[in-house]
Amino acid sequence: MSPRFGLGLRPPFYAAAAAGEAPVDWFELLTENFMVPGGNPLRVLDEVRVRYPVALHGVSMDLGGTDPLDRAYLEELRQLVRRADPLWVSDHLCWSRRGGRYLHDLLPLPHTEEVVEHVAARVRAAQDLLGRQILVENISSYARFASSMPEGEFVAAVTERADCLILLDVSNVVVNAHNHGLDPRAYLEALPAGRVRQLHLAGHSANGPLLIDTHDRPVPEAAWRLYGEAVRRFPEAAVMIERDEAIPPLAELVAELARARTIAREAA
Amino acid sequence: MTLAEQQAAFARYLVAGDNEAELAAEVVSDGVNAAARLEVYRNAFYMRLQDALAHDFPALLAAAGEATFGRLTAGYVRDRPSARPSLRWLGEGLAEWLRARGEPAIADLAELEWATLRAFDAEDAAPLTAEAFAAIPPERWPELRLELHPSVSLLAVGVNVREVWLAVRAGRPPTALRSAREGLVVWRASGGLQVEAIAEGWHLLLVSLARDATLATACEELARSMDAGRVPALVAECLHRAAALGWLTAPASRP
Repeated sequence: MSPRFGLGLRPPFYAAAAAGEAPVDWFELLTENFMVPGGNPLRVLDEVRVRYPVALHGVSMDLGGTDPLDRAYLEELRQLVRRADPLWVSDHLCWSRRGGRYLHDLLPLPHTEEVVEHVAARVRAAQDLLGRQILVENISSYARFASSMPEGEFVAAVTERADCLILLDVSNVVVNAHNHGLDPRAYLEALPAGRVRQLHLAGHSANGPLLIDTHDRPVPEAAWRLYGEAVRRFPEAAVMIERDEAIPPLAELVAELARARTIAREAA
Repeated sequence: MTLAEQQAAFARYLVAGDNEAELAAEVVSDGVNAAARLEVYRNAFYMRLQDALAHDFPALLAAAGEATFGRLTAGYVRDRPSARPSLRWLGEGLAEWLRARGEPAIADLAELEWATLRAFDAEDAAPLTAEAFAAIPPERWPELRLELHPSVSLLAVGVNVREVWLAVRAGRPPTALRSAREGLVVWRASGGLQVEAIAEGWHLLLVSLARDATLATACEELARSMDAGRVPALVAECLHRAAALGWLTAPASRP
């Protein structure tokens, strides 16, 4: 069985991870932070990966975009993959670039048959260039375009047609259920269970009537409840907790991860 | 709209915000109206990119003050599309952009901070050690091409940016900006990022070497701007110091 319970490798945890002192099964690295010529980031990568299995999680593949795929980015990623030897390589089911301009956000797509075809072709092209299957992650969104299918079915259709894997962000389902009135359980039911390899959990915050995926606080109860459902449906999937702002001491995230272990054990 | 038209409209909305009605017509308004939904993205776009610049240019933020920094970086983010997939490169053109807007003093500060960012994760290369440098026979010196370490940047600034940068780095309020012509070397040493002020002659010599000039050519260039008799001593002193501080790479590490 693959490593199950991980955390995001953020700078405050570099020393503990490099020393092998973090009680986690694996670490997820933010791809772009390690796409640098040299220096400390790559030294950290080399040190951590001899201690822990790692996964690479990126934000700039622009799988739903309408610019041509950025081949220089994919080539750089291919080289990083060779160096890191990751368990999984993931990015998001979204677009992030237009007219050569990176917008540095995970922007929403309409959920239509035409877009399924468009995105699946790009995922296949990216997988061909990388020489491996990738995981695509469902995003949180605050605006929705006119669509012809529910989001869960959209994720399922893209991944089936691209023959890629799924990183299910449980918290993003909670956020989108609130923001767009989706049924979170129906969302999970729509996904092809055999493709779900990884789960994400994170905290969100409220901005007026909308929930925003801020990764700046502990995982809320609603996400833990849906996680309980997710581990029943996808018992083999690895899980990690994302925290990118107001990062607490490692022990605090390890304690949150212990709750993920308990819920998974109870569900088994 | 086609998908490409929709994304073009969204990108324009994020950057310029002058086509909200056109884009809002594409967005489902249930419970929360489309304009409010889109605003989340527009606010996040500027906040994320300006926060990244504030993180990368702390001395510029401290010296310019929050209001000026906010106004300038909003203009930069709007005018200069980010062409690279990582935010790490976002500030690459900031110094040049500030200079073009007639802000030479803070442009110098931005240039220094960009050089420190570059130094932080520049390519690794074995430095030319002082011992290896001393072992190079004098007869080889004229044709020698010495390469600067990839983390080294050479700057010629017109204000006291080193002083400001050191103050902010030490957690002190920034020193006031004042005219001070200085040559600076920025590099990554084993103990962290370093900025050192160097004499004009040293700066000229290192700039020549960075252009891949032979030592003989670099000395000829130097002799045009100073007493030729002083050149050999200056070159020897500068290169010994450069080797001692790790500014040069070992010839063997050249491709």
